[in-house]
Amino acid sequence: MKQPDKKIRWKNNHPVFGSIQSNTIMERVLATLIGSKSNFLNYQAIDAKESKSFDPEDDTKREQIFLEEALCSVSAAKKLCDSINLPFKPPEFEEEPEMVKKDFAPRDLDEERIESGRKERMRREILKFGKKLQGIKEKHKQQRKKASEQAIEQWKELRRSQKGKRVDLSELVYRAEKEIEKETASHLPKNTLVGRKMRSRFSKGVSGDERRGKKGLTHEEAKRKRMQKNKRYGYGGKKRGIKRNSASSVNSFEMPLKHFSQK
Amino acid sequence: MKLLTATSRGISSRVRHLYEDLLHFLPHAKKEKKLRREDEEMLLQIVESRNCDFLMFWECRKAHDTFLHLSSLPKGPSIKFQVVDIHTMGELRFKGNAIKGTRPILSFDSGFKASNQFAIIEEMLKRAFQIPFKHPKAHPYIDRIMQFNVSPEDGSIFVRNYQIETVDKGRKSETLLHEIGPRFTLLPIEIIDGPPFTRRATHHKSAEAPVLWKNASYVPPSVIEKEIVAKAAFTHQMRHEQSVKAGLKPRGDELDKIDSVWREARSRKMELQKEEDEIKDEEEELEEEEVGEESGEEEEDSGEEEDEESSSQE
Repeated sequence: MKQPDKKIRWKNNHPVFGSIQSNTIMERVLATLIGSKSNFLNYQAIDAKESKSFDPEDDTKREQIFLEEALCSVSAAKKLCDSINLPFKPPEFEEEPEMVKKDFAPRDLDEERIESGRKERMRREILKFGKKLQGIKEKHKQQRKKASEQAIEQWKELRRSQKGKRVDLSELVYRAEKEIEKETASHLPKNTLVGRKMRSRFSKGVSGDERRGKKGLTHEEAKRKRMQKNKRYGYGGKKRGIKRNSASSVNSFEMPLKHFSQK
Repeated sequence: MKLLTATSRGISSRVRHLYEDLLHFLPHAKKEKKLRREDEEMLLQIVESRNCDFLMFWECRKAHDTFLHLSSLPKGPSIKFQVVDIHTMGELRFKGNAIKGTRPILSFDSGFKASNQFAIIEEMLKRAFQIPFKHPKAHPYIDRIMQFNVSPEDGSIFVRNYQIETVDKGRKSETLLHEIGPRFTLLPIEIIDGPPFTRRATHHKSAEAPVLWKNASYVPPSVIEKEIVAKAAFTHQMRHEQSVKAGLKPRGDELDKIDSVWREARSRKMELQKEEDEIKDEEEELEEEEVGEESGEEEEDSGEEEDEESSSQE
């Protein structure tokens, strides 16, 4: 919890707090704690002479400063330990020694960074691709519109030239639109992963026969596949109430639900 | 340093994991069962019975406040910290790993020399987190380092654990540090010249021990919560006044009239209950008197009845 900015006084101002009496008592306590002999091997403690001030709110800088100070104290300790012959490396063990963390999968921060970069790149590519597709589709729309307007104008001219007779408009428009679709179909991607994803997402505005599902198959394609699989492997599920080894099936040479090898 | 570690009841899972993580670093410590309220009054005696010098006591209150007491117990001082910003080993999953039983290097900031109180804190931290020299479970080489830093604003202490790895490159050798384990910060509250004072244990010798130093910049969590509640109450009151002005809510006078009706009904109910209880008590007293008289009579009668039965059988 963060402490608030206001300073709050204690309810009962202890008389000993901050007085000269307490200072002398503390010095006495300190003297008893430290004792007369100060051996490095007792506590293996190293005091830094000068240390940087850090902002406790800035996490990354703060941790960096802690690391640097630890490194300094390690180098200072090494000098002391070399004279005492205290090694910093363990000897080679026959069995593996007991570690503080037993079965731990260390987090590879580099890998995580790379993976997250990959995911972001994919996301960005998909977005770019989607924008591209949108632009293309709008173009197609406008082209179709133009074609239909042109067809209407043609029809008007025809009607003027052949006064009285009826001329069918829908055929002209249909033909014009189909021509443009043939041209523009090559612009849309077919079988890439991103293309498939886009097609499935934008399949709402498409006509019924051309709609594709998750795997990029139309309704007819999926049906065909399903029927083939059903023939080969059956309809799935537990076989309840099915006759097996009946008189007719025993004598027949048709393939049963389970394939028996003749070996 | 014979160390005794203990926790209070009401410990949360995060603090329990921190406690277990630190015990991996202290193989020489004697673990104590969870202490109840009665046991917290007898900390001195518990430590003496286990033949120990030093106490590390984790106190958890209200499921989100944790306090750490360090005290060297026959005579010495005891320090109380509030433990904040706890991150356990399993949560962080850092790369570093150390061999169990290696004696660490304890490195302290320059802030620990600025004043007497922090020098005392430094000495107590040394005794708490260091394995004694030539202990049978201690290994004679150095594997890890424990870093203590004092923040210049609060006086709060940041604790970090690192693994020391030396990489040989021919003549030169590089040292790399990988962070191992739990992270936490300690906010020092007070230093007492005597055994630790836990707020639950009211009738206690330590309640008489003098306080050597109190941290002026420390704000206890109860005060923070009260501030938050007061703020919320303030905003609520302002909104209420505004809505009263706008005519959307009734004024206080009208509310008081409604409230008074309920208050009267409640008080009448209490009075009736009191009368009933008094009547019950009187009845019970009467019954006891009757029962007392009857029991005396029954004893005499039962003796006579037994004689009659025995005579009838014969």
